[in-house]
Amino acid sequence: MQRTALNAWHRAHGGRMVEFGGWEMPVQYEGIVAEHKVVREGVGLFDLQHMGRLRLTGPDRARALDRFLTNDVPATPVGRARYAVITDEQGKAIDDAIYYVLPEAILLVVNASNREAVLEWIRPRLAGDVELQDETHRWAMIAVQGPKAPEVLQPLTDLDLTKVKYYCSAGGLVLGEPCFVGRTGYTGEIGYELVFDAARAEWLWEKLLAHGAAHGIRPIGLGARDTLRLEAGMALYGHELDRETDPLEAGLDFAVKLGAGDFYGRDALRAVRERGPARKLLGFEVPDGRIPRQGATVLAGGAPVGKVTSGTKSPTLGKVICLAYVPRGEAERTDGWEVEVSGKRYALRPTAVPFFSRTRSG
Amino acid sequence: MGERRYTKSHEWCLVTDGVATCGISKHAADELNDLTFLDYRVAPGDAVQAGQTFGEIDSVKATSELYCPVGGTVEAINERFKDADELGVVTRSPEDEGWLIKIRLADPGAPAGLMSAAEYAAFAG
Repeated sequence: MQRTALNAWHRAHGGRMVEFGGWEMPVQYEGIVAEHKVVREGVGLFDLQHMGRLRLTGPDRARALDRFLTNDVPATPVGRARYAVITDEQGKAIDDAIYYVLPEAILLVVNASNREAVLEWIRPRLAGDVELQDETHRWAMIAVQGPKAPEVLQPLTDLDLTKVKYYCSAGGLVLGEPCFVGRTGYTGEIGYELVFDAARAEWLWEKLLAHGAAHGIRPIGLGARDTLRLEAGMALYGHELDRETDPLEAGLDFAVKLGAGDFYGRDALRAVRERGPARKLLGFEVPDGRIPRQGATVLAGGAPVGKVTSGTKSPTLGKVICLAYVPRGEAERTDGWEVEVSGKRYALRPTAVPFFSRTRSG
Repeated sequence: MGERRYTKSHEWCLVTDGVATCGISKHAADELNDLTFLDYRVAPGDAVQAGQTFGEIDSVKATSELYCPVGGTVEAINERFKDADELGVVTRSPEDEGWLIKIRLADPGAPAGLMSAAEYAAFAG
């Protein structure tokens, strides 16, 4: 089991530790709902060192990486970040990732559980003058997320955060410590992800907690990270994405650039786009209360047609919500939806995804 | 006056006058946290066996089955928890106000195979 540089801190501060993607991580400190609300209403701090940080250097790095990502890496300017899916020849998802184009390198952040698989996929196929380093253990990664994140972080850095727009990044100092700051996150809130020397992780974590105390900052576990991302309609690998799923049926068209450079799976995805994906990922509310979990059967007009990928009770909306794959031919259906939970059927109401968005909710 | 006895599946029971009042342990309530729904699978008058499922409880994170610590006849279920908004009581007071089910024992006398509070504390860590 791998441990982050903050493992001892989590244990000493009530973090309930669980295995996640080969890492021992805090699932919660005081409770998922309480932590969820801290991020929606104020600001929370996440230890994300379990996420894989792969660094590409060398003059051909953009073209070389472009072979593996559905997005258009060479067209992404320095200082910008993009979401992308890593697909195999069949267009199925090996992982989803965010890449940050830095002046001297590209930082590729992948899921903890897929880091080895991604390395095994990319390394033997990497072509050109490029080097790929796994720097996951060398760098800590901390996310500061929530409407008050700018107020907490701005006084501590020489960067002008108003200039670091959504899906942009910059290098600077945070409390004198050299940091990479990306305005990205997995919560649907404004926020930043900081990458810096893992040896300084506990020091900076405690400083951020101390400086954020006036804003009610709290450490947040993986449980609330999951409910936050689900409200925001963001895919989680192993749920909405896996080796049997392509990014188009997952609704990730915005990250799939079929007209740009060739990548593994592009031809397969072109065919999917031409004929249309067989399935669609839809959002539902469960008005009657029971939470459908991953794998629960979805019925349309009484017939089983699909499977739930993620479900929870939304702490922000107070409603039970879920995502599910259904056949494209049923996707426009407005009524007759049900889900089976523990042998009982509950009505489903189709609803727009994201379930919650900051801009929509004011 | 008896004392609470515990199962490995984290239920407790307390026998008074041949009736076992049962619920989930403080440890389980802390683990589950954020309860959202309770679904009873039995009703008063039903015969149940020790280890049989009497319901399911949902938390934000997971769904857990609830098991009868003892066998007998269901005397009562705590109806207030059919209203999910009441489940905070289970979180706050799992081993008292938050009881879930009462079972009239088939066999009078102390139920077998359950742990004392001290044994359970060691078991649950």
